[in-house]
Amino acid sequence: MSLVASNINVSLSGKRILKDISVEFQSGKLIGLVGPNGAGKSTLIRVLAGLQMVTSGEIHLDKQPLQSLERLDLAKKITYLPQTGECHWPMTVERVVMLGRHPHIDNHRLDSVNMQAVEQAIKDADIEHLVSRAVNELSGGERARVMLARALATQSDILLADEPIASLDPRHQIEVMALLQALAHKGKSVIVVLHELHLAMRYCDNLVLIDTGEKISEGAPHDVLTPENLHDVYGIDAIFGDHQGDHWVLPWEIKKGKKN
Amino acid sequence: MKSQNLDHLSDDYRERYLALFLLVVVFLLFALSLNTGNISLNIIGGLSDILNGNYSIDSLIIYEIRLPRTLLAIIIGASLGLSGAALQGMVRNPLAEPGVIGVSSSAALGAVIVFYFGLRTAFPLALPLGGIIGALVAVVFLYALTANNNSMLTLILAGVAVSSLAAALTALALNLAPNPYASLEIFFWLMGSLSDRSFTHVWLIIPPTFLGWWLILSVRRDLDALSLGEDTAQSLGVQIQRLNKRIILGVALSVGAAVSVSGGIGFVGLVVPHILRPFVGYQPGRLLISSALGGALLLLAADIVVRLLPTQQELKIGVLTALLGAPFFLHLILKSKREWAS
Repeated sequence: MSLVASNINVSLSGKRILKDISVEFQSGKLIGLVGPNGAGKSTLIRVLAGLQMVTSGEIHLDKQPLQSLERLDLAKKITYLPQTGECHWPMTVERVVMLGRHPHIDNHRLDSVNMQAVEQAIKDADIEHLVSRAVNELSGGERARVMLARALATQSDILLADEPIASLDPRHQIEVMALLQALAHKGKSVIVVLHELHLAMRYCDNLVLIDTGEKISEGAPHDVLTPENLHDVYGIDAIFGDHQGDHWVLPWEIKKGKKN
Repeated sequence: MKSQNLDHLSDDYRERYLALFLLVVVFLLFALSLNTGNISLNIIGGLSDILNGNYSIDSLIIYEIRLPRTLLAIIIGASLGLSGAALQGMVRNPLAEPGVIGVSSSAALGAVIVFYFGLRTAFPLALPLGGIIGALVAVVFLYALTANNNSMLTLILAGVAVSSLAAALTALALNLAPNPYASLEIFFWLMGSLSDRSFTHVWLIIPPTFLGWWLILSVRRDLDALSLGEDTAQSLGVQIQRLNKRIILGVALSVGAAVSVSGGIGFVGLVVPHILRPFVGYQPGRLLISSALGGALLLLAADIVVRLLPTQQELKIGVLTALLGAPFFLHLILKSKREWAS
């Protein structure tokens, strides 16, 4: 599966949110989308999911224009996990995860194949102990994992996740990143919006750095998260290092006299 | 693993058992309703007379008075219960209800305009048509006001706006009515009642009502996905525009037709889904059929109660449902007070 966005421009109420962005995502890789607040990451993810109209530009899924695909066909191929884990009714965790199978079934009934996908997703997201709890009673981090399980249950080829680890504790952040990496290396295409630069450096195969709607840099994490880029985009200084051959980065302080 | 499978299966079974239970109670109340009135009848004899084409006092009373009334209670109750559940699923808010959000009063306004201009005598279908158009205007308006904003406050305020406008225009029609008798007739009709209705009314509302039910039920599974918000629902394959259109049109058709025959009967669509929701695991799609049956049950029971109450004049059923429903509404608001702060 390949997802290709070419020359994407998005303007919302006169404001240019995305400026001429072109990106290409191949399967088998975990791609991190990084950039400051308001850079346009969420908008780009929504564009890739077919949820946001573009002002100009094209998105192709396996050489087919995204707009030409039926919603339901698209739903089987691309899963979108939004930042807000909204659920408007106090359903149980299991029922929420079961909704991930929505594109694959014709009625409410889930057969054993579908249930297997649900159970696997519940296991992968480490929420087995929560299945019969009402989703509105959970903590923010537990809820985020329930929503991740919902997204995993669809078992699509492409997963677009908007800050899936933002509210998780360190253990679960590492667990989820390792899981997403493993999914990608099994052949899926996983694109994830992140603010945790250390985890982006450690787990992502490639990074795309965005600032004020423009693509600044793209490539291997240590080529993207350079001191210069962190200065220019985030206005911060970071400490870099190596651990058993892996690069690491630690955001350290505000860059003095530079940017805002 | 096994237990999860069983747990999930129990969802299906629970939904079915609940529907079956409600169906049985509706059937019992149906029999009780035929048996309730000023005169005691031989129901079995009367019904078999109707089927065999024999005329008897019993068959006449059943056919002309009690059967239409009973059938209307079932159809209209089901429409109100179903519409309440569907609207609540669509706007993701448990306070949405045809009465509370002004759909019923707008439908009533449509019907009053038909009364007022005497269109009913010229063209029998004008009455349900007036109700449907009135309801449609209200639902579309409400949807426009609450799109992208499902806070309790917006919904209630939109409902207040729609209801006030409909009430003002209805009052205007009453005010300008050609003679006091006509305005009295409209006034009593507005209170909501199922008495003195005939089979003509039943046949009149069946086509739009059934079409409305079908439209709503055709998107029932999509409502479950919509629980996770519009973006997620879309990414799960739901066509939001189609879903909204079908529910808006379905509610307008069934509630508009119902109100045009019965007048304003409020709160059925609020109370019934609220009571039944826990039994279907809070899934808005699964709630629909149970709510329809529950609505039929509640309205049938209410219609029996108004006939049994020893009041001088028969209590209007709309008055009874409002007396019971309004405090319930208040209770729901108090319960969700915390959400108002956000």
